Amino acid sequence: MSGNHVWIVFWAALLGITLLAYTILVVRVTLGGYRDIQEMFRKLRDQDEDGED
Amino acid sequence: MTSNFSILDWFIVGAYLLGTVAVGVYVNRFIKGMGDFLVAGRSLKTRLGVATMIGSELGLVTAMYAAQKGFTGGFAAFHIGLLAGITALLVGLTGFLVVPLRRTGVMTIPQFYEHRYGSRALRVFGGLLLALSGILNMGLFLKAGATFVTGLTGVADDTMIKVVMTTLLALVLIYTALGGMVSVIITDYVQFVVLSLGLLLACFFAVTQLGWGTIVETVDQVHGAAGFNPFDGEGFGTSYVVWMIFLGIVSCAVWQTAAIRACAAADEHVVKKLYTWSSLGFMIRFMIPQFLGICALTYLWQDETARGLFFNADGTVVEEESLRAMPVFLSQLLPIGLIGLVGAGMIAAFMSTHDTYLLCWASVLAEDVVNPLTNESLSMKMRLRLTRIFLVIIAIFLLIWSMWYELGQDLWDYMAVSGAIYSTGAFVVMLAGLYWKRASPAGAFLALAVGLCALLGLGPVQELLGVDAWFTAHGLSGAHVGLATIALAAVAMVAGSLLAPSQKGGAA
Repeated sequence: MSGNHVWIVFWAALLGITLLAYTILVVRVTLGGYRDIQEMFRKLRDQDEDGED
Repeated sequence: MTSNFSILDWFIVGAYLLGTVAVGVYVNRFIKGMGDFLVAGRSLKTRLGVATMIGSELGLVTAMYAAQKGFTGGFAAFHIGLLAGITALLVGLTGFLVVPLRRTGVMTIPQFYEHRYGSRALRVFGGLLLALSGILNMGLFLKAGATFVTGLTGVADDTMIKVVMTTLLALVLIYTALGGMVSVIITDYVQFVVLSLGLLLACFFAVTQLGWGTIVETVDQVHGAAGFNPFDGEGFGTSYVVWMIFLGIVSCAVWQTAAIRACAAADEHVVKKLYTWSSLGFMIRFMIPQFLGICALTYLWQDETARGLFFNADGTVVEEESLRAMPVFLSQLLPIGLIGLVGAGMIAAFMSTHDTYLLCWASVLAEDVVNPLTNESLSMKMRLRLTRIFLVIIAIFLLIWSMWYELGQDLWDYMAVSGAIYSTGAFVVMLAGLYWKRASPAGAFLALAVGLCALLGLGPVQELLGVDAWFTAHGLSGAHVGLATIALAAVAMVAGSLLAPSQKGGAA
């Protein structure tokens, strides 16, 4: 087991950092993505109206 | 083993599925042309782009094959996610491949071939190869989905599972055919939110219930040093690690389902931001399911009954059961309600991967094979109809292939090799096309054709050709075949371009 100690510490640190970063990303993207969806619909609706003109 | 999956959990899953179809019906009103249908009118912004990219890449199938790798490879399997994240980050920071691709204004990779090399035949050939590789690549999605549903819910009736999977596929077809890329983006976003929440909670439950020390100890008992060190020859080995670096670049920058996000981005600046932010997602999509696979290994090893099912008498993993380990573990670990949330998230992930892939390969066949063959004479309405017809044909093929094909290797390795039929040649053709002025159509044709050699990495193909014993005797795996194919494709590109230069000069 001792030969693997460096790898265990490395993978544990990577997993911890990744989970923390992902939690932050999920919150940011969830809130921001909702606003982007509204904007996308607005843009598609505008394009549609321009096309009809 | 009985599952914790209850009536309430079925209700959560059912409500989610109905909501998804409603989205497809709702956004159909915004689809007026091919640009809206395929790239959502190029209106994708960064945050939504990140959600949709992770949403489509972190599918149920990804979760299944990544968990299987965690189960069979231990912590060492994390190198796959780490390399995927690093390569995506480098692509995002430098704009390597994706920025010049976005600059061309194309919607698909084969379109780029015609744009850069001035050869319509190359576009058609590239489109056919891409579709063949892509459809084979998703050929076992249904099987993986069925394995997950049986493992999680405890429903063992084979007919029932086939009915459920066919119904799911039908639902995907309905909202993808109706709403195109817009509905794909919305459902990917919802799936990203639901699945991310479910996975993060599952990790929390797993660690608190099993304990970090027990997890590490079990991996050491089952896999030894190879369970931690990815370079250990008893486990993955150096060739495999190098192969994963290549796959990291390919899956974010060359593989059509990811590259289409670059094509759909509002501008080049968004492309770079999209990849930089998504790099975490490319890492996560492997690491979290792999960790759940490692937790499954720990749980099933500690449980006397389960140990007899998932491990041989000598303590090695039963390969045929390894795909089922993660869902069985979740069915035992998660409480009522949360198991429904994870189930809905995973099934949503199953659907969102299917919608992206179905739309992608159907549009490649319509836009890059049939339309160029008719001298681009098809009307917009006809091209939309054709795409929808291909959606149905591919779905039928998937149903048949899933039932017929015997896997015979880890799901991830099957996908890596089937994807390599296209990606090895396409990587070289894109790289040379974007950065080497002397790259010619002849070189591109040869490089793409050489990519077919990757088929030799599939176990059943080796058996068919009678060379399986030779591969085994020489210790050659799919990774070796893939790396050799890239090298051959590069040689073919250079030789073809120098021997038969482009008539009009380069356009890189």
